[in-house]
Amino acid sequence: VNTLLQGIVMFLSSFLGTLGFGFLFNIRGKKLLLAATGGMLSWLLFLVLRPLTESEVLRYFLVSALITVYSEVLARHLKTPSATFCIVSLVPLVPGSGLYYTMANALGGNAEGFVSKGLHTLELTAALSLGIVLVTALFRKRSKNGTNRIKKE
Amino acid sequence: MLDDSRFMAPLQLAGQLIMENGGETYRVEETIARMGRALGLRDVESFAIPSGIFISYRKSDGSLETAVKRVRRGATNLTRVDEVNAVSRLLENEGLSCEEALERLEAIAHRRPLVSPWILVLAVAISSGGWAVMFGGGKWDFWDFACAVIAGGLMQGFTTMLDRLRMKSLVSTLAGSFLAALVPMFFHHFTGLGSVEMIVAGTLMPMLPGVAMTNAVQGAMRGDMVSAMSHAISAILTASLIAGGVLTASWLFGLLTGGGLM
Repeated sequence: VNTLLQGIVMFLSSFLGTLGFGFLFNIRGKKLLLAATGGMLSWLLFLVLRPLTESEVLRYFLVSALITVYSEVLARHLKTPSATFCIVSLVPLVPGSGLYYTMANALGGNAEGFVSKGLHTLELTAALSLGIVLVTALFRKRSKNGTNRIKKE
Repeated sequence: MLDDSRFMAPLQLAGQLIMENGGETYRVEETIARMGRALGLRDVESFAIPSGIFISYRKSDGSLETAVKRVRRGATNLTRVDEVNAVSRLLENEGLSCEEALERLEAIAHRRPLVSPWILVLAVAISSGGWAVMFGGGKWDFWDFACAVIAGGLMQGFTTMLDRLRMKSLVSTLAGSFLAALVPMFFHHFTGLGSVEMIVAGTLMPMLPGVAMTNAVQGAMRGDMVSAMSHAISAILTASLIAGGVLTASWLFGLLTGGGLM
């Protein structure tokens, strides 16, 4: 029961966090709620996929790919750029704090910490971006084929 | 006078609006190409970098029309990007005329923001509280939440005030992160409640350049090196400034209380 409660608090807090973020990015209404739900989902997936692989990098890639699918589907449905959802929904995972710790180490004169934090942050960012770019490219290819077909008919 | 030069205005404005409100460079180029095609222009070429847009197309007399637009990035406003996207789609599918498109784009450009900056302060405050609890691993600690809300609100409020005074974002980032770190430290020092690291991490979250960093790597993966470099440098600069603000705060805290924390 305790872990369940902990989980609920965690998801509510990630929902709140993304909600504020989306508001700051001037998303409104239904789209804001959907984007915040995506933020909650991305954190949920990140935790749920843990038994599958311990590697954070791999999980980052998987979650960002899945969330990009979520964003692309919603974007098609609501006729809006997928970035509206994608940027905000992935915010819980985006390693902004990693870059911050990296630079804090650099300013504090801790060269070892700078390198290890920096590399880890770079890996996570690369995994995240790869997920986004790959899925977007797949969706784009499909939709292009779709329009060509319509034109030929 | 109906010559082909009139097509430039909507293309330029659409590109400018997308870029200024935080859209990616490839989206700018793509939208301009689509709109150009919808307007029946030949040889539409555009080249966008985060600080400017170059557009050219061929006029019916065979000469090239070219324009350069300097762009300054502001706050991210994804609703505006969305609206510009809608205009471009109308142009493509519903046969909107060039003048109608320009009119709609100008309406988007001149519309005032929906909410006052003070409501944004509230949004950032709540967001900070959420992150602080999330970083704490879902253990519900009311004081973590409350302190992060207050620190986040102060941070965004102070930053907004500095922006109003037309300070450079460099100054407001430094000052904002300084506050975001100092408030939780003193809160913990005087009350013994909350965990400083979680609160600081949560409060800083809305300020951290995570989106710029992801955009940088995404740009590089798409082969868009110029915007990748410019996003990367802006992300590193912002992170360094935030780190500088936090270190200054912890140095001051150590000086005042006789024992550093971070």
